[in-house]
Order: sequence, then structure tokens, then C-alpha cells
Amino acid sequence: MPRIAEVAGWLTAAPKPVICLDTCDILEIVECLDWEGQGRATRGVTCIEPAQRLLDTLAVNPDRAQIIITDLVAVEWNQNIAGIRAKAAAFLTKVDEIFGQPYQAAGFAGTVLPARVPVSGSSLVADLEALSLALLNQATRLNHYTAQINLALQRVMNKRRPSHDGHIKDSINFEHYLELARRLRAGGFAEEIVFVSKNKKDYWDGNLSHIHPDLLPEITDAAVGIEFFGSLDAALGFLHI
Amino acid sequence: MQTSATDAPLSVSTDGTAGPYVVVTAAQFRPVTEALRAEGISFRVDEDAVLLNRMPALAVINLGSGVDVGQVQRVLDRVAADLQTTGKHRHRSPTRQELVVRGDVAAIQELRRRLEVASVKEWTRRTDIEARSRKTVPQRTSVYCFSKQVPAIGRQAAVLLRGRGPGDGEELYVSSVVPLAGREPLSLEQHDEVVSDFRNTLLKPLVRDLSIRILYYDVNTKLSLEEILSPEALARLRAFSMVANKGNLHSLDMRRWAEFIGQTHLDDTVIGRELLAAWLDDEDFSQDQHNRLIDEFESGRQLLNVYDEERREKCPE
Repeated sequence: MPRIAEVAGWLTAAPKPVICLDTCDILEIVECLDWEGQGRATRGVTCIEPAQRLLDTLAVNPDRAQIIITDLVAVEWNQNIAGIRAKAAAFLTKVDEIFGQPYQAAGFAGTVLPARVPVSGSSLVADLEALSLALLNQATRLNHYTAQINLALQRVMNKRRPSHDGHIKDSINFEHYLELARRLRAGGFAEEIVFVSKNKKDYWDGNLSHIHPDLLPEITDAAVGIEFFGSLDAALGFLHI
Repeated sequence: MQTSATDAPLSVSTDGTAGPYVVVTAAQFRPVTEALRAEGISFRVDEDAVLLNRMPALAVINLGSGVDVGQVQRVLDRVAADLQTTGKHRHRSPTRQELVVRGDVAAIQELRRRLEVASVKEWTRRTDIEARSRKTVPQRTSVYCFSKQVPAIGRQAAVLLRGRGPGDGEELYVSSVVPLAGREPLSLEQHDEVVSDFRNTLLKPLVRDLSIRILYYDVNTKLSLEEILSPEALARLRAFSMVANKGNLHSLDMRRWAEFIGQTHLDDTVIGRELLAAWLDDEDFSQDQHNRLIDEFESGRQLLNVYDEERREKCPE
């Protein structure tokens, strides 16, 4: 696992756009098979196509962009994937149950409905997990720096975003991405650096998919120059991918 | 992403050796089959042809080999015209051509054997790209990649073709079209030119004597506003637009617009400025009012967000 300085060195030598991802952006590919909440609508599945598009683009042209994550992102992915997989499987089972009801009614009413294969028996969850893992594996993982972890801790103590509610993980990612960007810009890196997070609570300006005003000066600082996006699709649109 | 429901093109396809056929969306299925019956044209619906990936519902209507293709096309043109007249007003959304190759297992296996070549006409097999792509898909998935300098767009493009279906043997589809060099993306028109070239110069010659169908159709590339909004928010948006004075908004119109903003906030729906702008544009709001409404929407949502944050901090439950 490379350190920030090494990654900055590679990218400065062979520049290409940088895409920094949050854990939720990668887990979302499986997590989208769920309800938004109790009694609410199903989640959107619009996150799947951009992930596949990015991977296909990088398969054709590996120099088109560099995906970056912190080691913490990989750790969190591994910690959460089993639970998300189980929820997705339960969601498909529930969908089959819902579909079963009109079929039962049709049986009593004498209505013929077209044959339907249960979705819970399909490989959908496994395939989405494979896609999510492929995205994770496509990324270069940054080794953690003590300095950045200390800065993250200061955010927690000062109740500063993205740790305004006391959680340190988002600040660890954020500080590492800021540091990578600083080093790249200091070396004259002129390519785009984007940070993607669908984490509304900690990064977004409420429901608006731009970064919270508290964090805006930090990423727009000329020595950093990061663009923020609330979805991978929007980031890829910005990068023309 | 869905097929354009009622406005998708309706035409008779005659490629392959499996006989003429028509691909229809779910919304077109009933009017087309009724019209064919009314004309005494016999047909059979391919029950397996409902494609799932990015395609909620698509059916293939098989016509007998002795069918009068011209007569069927005239029926389809009439149905298409009727659907356009009677169909609901649909908001514009850009489309992109998708391509699926279907056939029985033996035919698809033969096609896959034929694809295992170094080149087909000007198309070059790209095993380097295939190897990278295989690392990103489930192990059972077959991947083919061919590249070509496509005359219609004046650029080199790579087409990724993947297998899917039980045992990965029943269907191949174009998963991506990517320019080989440069950062400029392919426009939707260029994407469709490459797919069309791939279909005509690589696939069609390969499947000529096989019982295989090359299905191609337009899919919307973005979700429409109607697909993003909750039923409540959509009802409020429609209620607003139906009675709004579109050239010079009245205070009651703004009240209804505020109700729509409030509902999207309650739903926690993320709506991009462009999507809202396109909808208002389609609804014939004047440019001034259109800008005013979007500004109002963004500032309204911002105000509600600040209110939520303040409330969470100062009035914890």
C-alpha cells in the first residue's frame, strides 16, 4: 500500500484526473437493493451504471483517470459488506413475497398471469457485490499518515465538519485527500481532482449536492483545488467519462 | 433508464435466419398485437425476450417467414402515429442505442467461437482490453472487445461485448463504447454511429447463417424528473404547472411552487438544476419565469436545510 508521497510522485510524473471515493460510493452499488426506510420507496439504482462505465473506460484506457481511496475505505467496505449483502438478499426475498400476493389473488380469481421467476434466486446480489469489489480493487489505497489522523482528531475535538457529530472516519478520509491534493498541486499537477461522496449528512449542503459551505474554502483553496460531487455520475460527467 | 415507452421506433427487423420480427416496449405491446390481429397477420410472442438489464420490459413479436413485411410495417407506422397522438405528453430525454444479440444456446456458442478471431474486417480484437475488463466482471462472464477507426466519427473506438444469462450462453450485449484515445467523450450521436457500424460490419456478417437476432433499441440515458419525484411531489408539480400563468407568475402560482419545494424537501429528493430546467422548458415557461422558479427552488431548499440544521442543534428531540 503506497504512501501519499509515492502516489503524488507517480501522478505528477504521469498526470491523469484523480477520483477520490468515499466508502458509501462503493457500497452503494449493493446497498441500492433496499428500501429508503420503513414504509418508504425503493432506493434508486442509478449508481450502478456509472461504476460500470468508469471500470469499462479504465479497461480501455487506464490513463484516463486514477481512482484513489484511503486504507480506511477498504477496511470499512470489508466491515460492512456482509450486512449490506444480507439486506439486499432480504430485499429481493421481500420483492418475491410482494409479487406472490397478486399471483395468489389471480389463482382465486381465475386470472392468468405471465410466468415469473423469483428474483431472490438470481445472482444479482453476488454480481453487484463483484462490481463493487472491482471498483474497490481498481483504486489505489493510500496508507494512513499519523499527521492526517491527528488533523482528523482535531476536527472531532473542535466539532468541525465532516466530524461535527463526533465521528472521526470521514475526517480521516478527507484529510488524506486534502493532503494528496496539496502535494499534487505543489508539484504543478494541473489535472482535475474530484472527491465524491453521497454522504449528505457530513459533506453536503443539506439536500443540495454541492459541498457544505463550512468545507468549501478548504477544497477550493488554490493549493488544494478539489471539486466535490454528490454522485459518481456527476463526477464522471465533469470529467467527460 | 427505460426505453421510450410509447415513442420508441416500431419497425420490422429481418436480420439473421430466424425470420422477421418486431421489438416492442411494454407500452407498445398491446396496441401492436391488437393491430396485427385486426389485419389478420399471424404472429407469436417470444416469451423469453423480456430483457432485464437496463430494460424493464421489452418483447419480441415473431412474424412468420412468409409474412408481407411491407404490410406489417404499414400497420406499425399507423400504430406509432396513433400512439404519438393519444399518448401522454412525455418530457424529452436524450437516448442512446443499446444492442443485444440473442439466439439459442448452440447459435450463440457458434457466434462466440467466431468472435474468437484476431480481426473481423476493420475491427481488431483487443485481448489486452479484454484481460483488464475480465478483472472487473464476475468470473463466468465472457468479454469480447474490438476496436476500429470508425469513419462516421473520425475516431478510434473500442466496443465491449459481454455475455449474460443463465450459464452466460444465451445473450451477448454491448456494455460500453469507449474512445481509444483522447479525453473528449463520444456524443450520443457518435456512440450510436459506432454501435451501428459494429452491428453492420462486424455482427451482421458473423450471424448471417445463424438463428440469431440482433436487437437494437433506444434507451433514455437519464432518469426523467417524473421518475425521480415521489407521487406526492409529482402531483404538486403537475398541479402547479397546470394552472400556472407561465409568462408572468402569480403569487398563487408561487405558493403552489413553494408547496412543491416543501414536498421535495420532505422526500429528501435530490434534483439537479438541469433536470428541473429541462422540465420547465418542456412545459413552456418563459425564460424569465423559468430562471425565477429554479432560483426559488434552490434558495427554498437551502433555507429549509439551514432550518433543519438549526432545529437539530437547538431543539434536540
